[in-house]
Amino acid sequence: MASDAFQATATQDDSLDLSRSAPNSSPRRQALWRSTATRLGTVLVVVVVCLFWELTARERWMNPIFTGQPVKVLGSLWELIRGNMLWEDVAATVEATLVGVVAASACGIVLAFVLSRLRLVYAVVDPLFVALNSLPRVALAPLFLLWFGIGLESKVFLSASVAFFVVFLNTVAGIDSVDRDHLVLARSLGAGAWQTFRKFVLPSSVPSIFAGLELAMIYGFIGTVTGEMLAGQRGIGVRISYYSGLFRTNHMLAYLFVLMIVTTAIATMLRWVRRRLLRWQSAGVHQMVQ
Amino acid sequence: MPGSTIAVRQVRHWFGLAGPGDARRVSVLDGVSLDVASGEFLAIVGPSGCGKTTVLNMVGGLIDPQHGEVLVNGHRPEIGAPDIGYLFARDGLLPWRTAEANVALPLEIRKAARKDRHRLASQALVAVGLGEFAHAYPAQLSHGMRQRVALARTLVTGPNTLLMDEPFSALDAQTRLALQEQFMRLWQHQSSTVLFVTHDLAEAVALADRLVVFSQRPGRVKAEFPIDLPRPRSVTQLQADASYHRILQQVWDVFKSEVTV
Ligand SMILES: Nc1ncnc2c1ncn2[C@@H]1O[C@H](COP(=O)(O)OP(=O)(O)O)[C@@H](O)[C@H]1O
Ligand SMILES: [Mg+2]
Repeated sequence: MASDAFQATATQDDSLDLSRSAPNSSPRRQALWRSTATRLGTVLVVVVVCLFWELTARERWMNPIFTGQPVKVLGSLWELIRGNMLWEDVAATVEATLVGVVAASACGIVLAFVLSRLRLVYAVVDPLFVALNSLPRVALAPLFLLWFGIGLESKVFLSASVAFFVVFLNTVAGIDSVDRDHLVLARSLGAGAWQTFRKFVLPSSVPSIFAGLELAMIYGFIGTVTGEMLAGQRGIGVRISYYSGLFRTNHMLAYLFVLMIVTTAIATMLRWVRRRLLRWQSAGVHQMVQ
Repeated sequence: MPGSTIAVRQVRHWFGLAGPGDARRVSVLDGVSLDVASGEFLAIVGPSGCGKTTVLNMVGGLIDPQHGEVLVNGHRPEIGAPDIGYLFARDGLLPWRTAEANVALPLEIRKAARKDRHRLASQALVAVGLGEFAHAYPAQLSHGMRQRVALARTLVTGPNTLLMDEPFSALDAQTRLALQEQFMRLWQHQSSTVLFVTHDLAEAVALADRLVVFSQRPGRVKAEFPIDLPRPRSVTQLQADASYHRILQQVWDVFKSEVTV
């Protein structure tokens, strides 16, 4: 009864029309056109660069030992894909990175939440974290090799040492950015410490944590591949430094190409997960853009 | 559920100038006494910084007075008591929750049964005229709609005490009028006791049964006006009502002297 009268005011004073974000034909189709055209442009750039590159090698404008040759790189790639070694190398690099990044991220997130409650302890260790974080972690590789040998562990620790601080610092920033109005609300509703964390602080730090995770994954690969290049038995980095040492540039480039595909695929997956989890962030964007 | 009775007795309060540890004191309330009857709508008006919010926080159990006492239904108020509903000027909606999930938040925190949460939250949204927007995120809603979601969140637990701190002050004039009207209709269907802080005299006179004017800091009750306008009221219809304007003029005269002196 009373609610009917209120419906009238709801549509009257508020100017939101949800149907605007529904799929309607012409602007939608235009957007699709535009994105297809952009992608075609990207492909065109790649084709032109590769053609020029191929020409450089064929005409000996530069020694192919330095530049490789696209057609031969494809040949190397085909040869490697049919063998077992490439797949073992990919698995080794991905495994080391994932183990390192996942473990480091879990530690980073948990530690950030613990230290945000123990501000005194945080103040004590903060300068140490700053110092360690500004140390180029790759310089730790010899130490890790000394401790753990040339197997999986060294690489895992190297990628973990890079990933940890990124995730930790981003999580701390996320916790600190919690809206004061939300904390006032939590208090007025009588939320306890756990509820305040679970329903207010944690969700509001998720965007920041995810930004940290995405960076950590990229940095993690840097750590792993660098470790592999210095010393290792298996992995993409091992092969890159091995083939470049033999001046088998096309094989080396094939491995580089695979590395790029692998890291891009993982970064894309993470971004997709973030978009799904944080749909609420883009919820208002349609409205504001139009 | 009948509205609560609220008693504020000889309350004096100060804050540390730069926070709780600071020895330099700012006296905020200086002997404030208020009695609010069950089901009464009391508006508090006063200059900025005179301790209005502090009084609300005391009634909500968020602050203990340093002197005097505050009693709700004869007891010291407990923080987060489910029979108290708070509404602030800023909606404080959680952006990652849909409108309905925001309204359900107090029920979750009070650990209401899962099936009740959904039912009560959607009922409350319908009551504020946002039934269709249950699954919209706050970013998709206008200011007025967001504050209505916040109103639904305040009402969803069926509180018998409403503490409202300048709840419509952040809205534009037209939206504010729409929300006042809507809130009046909803409230006149129930019997809760309301403590309503505002700096808008017209709003106070239009909504309240009684109005107290606070002095400048440290706050004291400077004047008190019964508002003998018949209920149920419609805020829009009052705009053309002679007795409404007469009372408003009287209140304004007292208020003006306090602000300028
Ligand atoms: N937690 C606090 N610590 C220190 N000073 C405070 C605190 N809360 C309020 N005050 C001060 O007390 C005075 C009254 O505050 P408040 O009750 O919010 O006033 P009002 O709501 O009437 O504007 C203000 O001068 C404010 O700065
Ligand atoms: Mg205030």
